[in-house]
Amino acid sequence: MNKTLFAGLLLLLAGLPLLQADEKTAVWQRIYQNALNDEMRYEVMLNIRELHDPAFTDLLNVALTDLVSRRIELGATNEVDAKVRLATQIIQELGDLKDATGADQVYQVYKEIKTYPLLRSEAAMTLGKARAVDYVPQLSKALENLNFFPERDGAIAQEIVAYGLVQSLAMMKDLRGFEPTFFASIGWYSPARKVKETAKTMMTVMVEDPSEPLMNIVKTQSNNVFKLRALEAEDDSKASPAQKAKVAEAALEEGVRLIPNTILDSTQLSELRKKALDMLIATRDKTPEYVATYKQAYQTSVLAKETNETLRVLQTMGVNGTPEAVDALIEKMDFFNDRANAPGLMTDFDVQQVRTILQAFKAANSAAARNTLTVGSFLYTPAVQRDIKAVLAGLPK
Amino acid sequence: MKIIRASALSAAGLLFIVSCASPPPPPVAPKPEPTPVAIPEPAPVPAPEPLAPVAPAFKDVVTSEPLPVSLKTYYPNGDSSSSVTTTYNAKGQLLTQETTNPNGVLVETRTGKAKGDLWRITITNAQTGEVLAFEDRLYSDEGDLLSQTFMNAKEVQQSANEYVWKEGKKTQWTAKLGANGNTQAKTLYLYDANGNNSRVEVYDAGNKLVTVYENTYNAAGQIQVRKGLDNSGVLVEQTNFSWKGNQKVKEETIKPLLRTLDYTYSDDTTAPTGIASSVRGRLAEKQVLIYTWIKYTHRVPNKE
Repeated sequence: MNKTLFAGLLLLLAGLPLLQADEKTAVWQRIYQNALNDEMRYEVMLNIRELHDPAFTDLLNVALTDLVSRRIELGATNEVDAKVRLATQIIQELGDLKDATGADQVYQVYKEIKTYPLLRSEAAMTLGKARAVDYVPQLSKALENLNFFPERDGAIAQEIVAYGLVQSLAMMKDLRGFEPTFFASIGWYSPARKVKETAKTMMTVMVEDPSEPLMNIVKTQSNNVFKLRALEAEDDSKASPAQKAKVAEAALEEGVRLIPNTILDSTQLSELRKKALDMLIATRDKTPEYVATYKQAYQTSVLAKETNETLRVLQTMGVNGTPEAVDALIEKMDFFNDRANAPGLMTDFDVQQVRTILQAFKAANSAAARNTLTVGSFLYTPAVQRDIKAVLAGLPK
Repeated sequence: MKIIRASALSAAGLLFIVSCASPPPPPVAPKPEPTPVAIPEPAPVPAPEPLAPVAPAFKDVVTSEPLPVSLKTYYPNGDSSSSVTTTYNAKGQLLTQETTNPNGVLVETRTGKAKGDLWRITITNAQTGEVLAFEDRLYSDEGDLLSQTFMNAKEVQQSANEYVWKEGKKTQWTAKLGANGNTQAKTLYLYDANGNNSRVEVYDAGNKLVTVYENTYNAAGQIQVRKGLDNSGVLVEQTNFSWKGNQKVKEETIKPLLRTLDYTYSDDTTAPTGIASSVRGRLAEKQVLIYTWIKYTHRVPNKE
């Protein structure tokens, strides 16, 4: 230990102005200053925490600086144990007081502690409570490392730290912390440690609109499951419908663009597209530029023989309802009209598509659909004809 | 921001006082004269004069104090920073307390129950279920807190506070440390003729006076200024108080640094439902409180 430094810190501690709110604060501050060892300081700290007074802030900061300078993990077991217990109390109280002035020392504890994961976790959480946003990059990186590069041994210790980091980043409510929190929510952590569960909950509260980082994940991650989870997170978030639609369209585009190499890939990409279509329907999106992607999605689903997906694309076009979407639907209806003209070509699935297109026209409510529907009203089975006439009757002239 | 706790409010939160005179003592019967033996006719014993009415020596004073059942804390931008929800029994002893962090995650629970004569509070990490510490409180029959003992998870005593009360007023506090309870400081609370805590004297372990607080009050018994003096009489702290009616609206520490507490109320009681804390003129935290009211009865000498 650097004796000069320690002596200096003690002098600083003794020279702290009495910022007491009352006599209790003054008394316990004095007792802390006079304590002979860390065991005694810990005993005092329990009382100091009970008072929960911001007047203790300076004392806590100096006390933590003293502990850090004496290297918390250095010394005999009982000495280290006392230092760790004391540091934990100090750090927790600094967090409860939401004091950011001592953030440097708190981060120092986070960085230097190797064998006490609970203390590291508390240090991380205190930085969060104090909203020490200067440390978001460091904490984000730390969580990212735990998410993707866990050490082989000490899983529980790593989970404890990850839990603290997730809480911390969530408390800071900083967009930069969202991505590692997202990956923690789908990471390797065991259910017992609640890291994943907590991260998932935190994602919905830490930022209002996580669209930017989630869009980034959807567009850049090579893992299809990550893309799907990011899309689900966007759906669960408080982002606006327009933002959700934007991310959903990007996911649909990815689902169309990527070529599956395996059956698993194919299934995952179909799940991604279906989720995206569901979100586009739910958000009642009417962006004309997205129709091009819908057309591609239709082709992809037909090729993949994903019948539910095909019907959902048609439904999405109806909800979109723009002239571009109506044109695309007319094109499909014309196609089925031609097919219906040739006896025996229409399959049950074709009829299902026609019925879905009818509902889409109804939703789009466009006069442009009248021609193709009028043609269709002379084709198909009497039941379908009745449906076509009902839709026609409701459309503007 | 200082969180208002039961102990913090107990001295300050008097709402109303109801005086109930004790019944007068029964009239004293005249002592019977011994029967005379072979004596001429005794003189008639004069009838005892009726006793003048005597004022009762003691009276019961009922006070009602607010205890916070909900405390929500906010960052300056309005984001929630923590929430503490507490329940009490009819004597004002803590039954349960749940604390959430800024994410709304339950982080700590406190549960209280009787342990012999003591009221034991168990503090638990809500996430791990691990017991963190214990606190034993001892109350008088009148509900005054006589002692608090803080223990670690192994139930080894760490520190303690002991209080002496007289007629519902705290007169002494002793701070102790360690498993043996070595006295570290003693504080005396002195009251003026109106019953206001006018002076606080803090002594160290060697019984040497180290700090004095002098409080001044207006005619209504509302504290106006609190001055802290070191043992040389040098002013080291000063806090000024502002009142509106019976409600404290501002508490401003001007020395050693500017720290302000602004109080707001949702009714005409003395319990603030909003507290804004500023340091050096900058808003640091806001609190919103909801209370329950507990009644205490103290028997005090009747000075009427």
